[in-house]
Amino acid sequence: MVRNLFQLNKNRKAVSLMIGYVLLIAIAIALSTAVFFYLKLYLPSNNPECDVDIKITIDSVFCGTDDDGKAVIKVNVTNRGLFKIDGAFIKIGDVGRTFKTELNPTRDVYDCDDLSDRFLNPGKMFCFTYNVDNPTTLQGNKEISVQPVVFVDNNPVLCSDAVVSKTVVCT
Amino acid sequence: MLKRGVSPVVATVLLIVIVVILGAIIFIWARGFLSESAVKGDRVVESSCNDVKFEVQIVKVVSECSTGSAIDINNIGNIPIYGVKVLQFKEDEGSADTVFDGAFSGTITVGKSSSACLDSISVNSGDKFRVVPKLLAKNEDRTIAYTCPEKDGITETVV
Repeated sequence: MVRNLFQLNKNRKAVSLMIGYVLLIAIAIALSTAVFFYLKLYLPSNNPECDVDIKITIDSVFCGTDDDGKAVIKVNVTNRGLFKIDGAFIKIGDVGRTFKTELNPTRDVYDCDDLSDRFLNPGKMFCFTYNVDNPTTLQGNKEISVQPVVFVDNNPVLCSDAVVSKTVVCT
Repeated sequence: MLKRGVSPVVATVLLIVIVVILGAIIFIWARGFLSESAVKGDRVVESSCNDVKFEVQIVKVVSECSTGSAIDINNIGNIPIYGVKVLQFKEDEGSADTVFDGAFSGTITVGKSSSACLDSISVNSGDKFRVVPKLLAKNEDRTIAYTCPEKDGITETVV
């Protein structure tokens, strides 16, 4: 009886050794892939950041009426850092208020002496005159702020630590 | 001598089943530590909250607002801000109440600033607020407004 059982057991078919290994490896790879993609969501990504040597200054601001009687804001900004700047957010608002109105929606900056460039190299000055649609809102003390933008891997990156501001009296 | 045990195949199957069950138990247990994850871009939204950079100001008197007070947000970082949750500290009660929880007139994209009236409260000098950003994120197929953890907020004292 025991002998019969033993022989019966010997004749049993199971998966081959090779298929067993393949199955084990496939399961291991599938599990590790699933865990990788799940945990990848929780990994901090390498966000592009501005270099610390990006610096700008507001050289001069004029807020008033020009020779033609139009209300304008003239801004001169110089790149004092070590790298080129690809754009800037230029905003104006009440002194002491965080809320400011954007002056340049296109964010363009370029060298005053070379208008073909769409960026501002170190040491170069950007100068532009913005027309003011509603001059009554721009009276008295105002604050103008400029925040540089650089492109990293074709993505715009704002330089949070390089914001500069200046107070101007609008007449 | 002829003692019988489980066959190698059964043993292997048993091992795999035990490992899978243990793995499932550990996964379900560990998931409790990781909050239900909404995703922004290619990672969980909590990670984006760390990268939000903004300036905030609570202004006592703004002519455009009926009660006079308003909250200004200036987005100086690289993450768009959908809205904010504003908590007002009550020193005497030792608590913080939500006084504003919502969006502005539109998402405050990078480099932009926005302002909203705080109609439900009166603001006085010395009042202390905690302003926490809200971000748009995807949860399964839905877009949700995710409120960042309070640690990612800014404490603002009215002057």
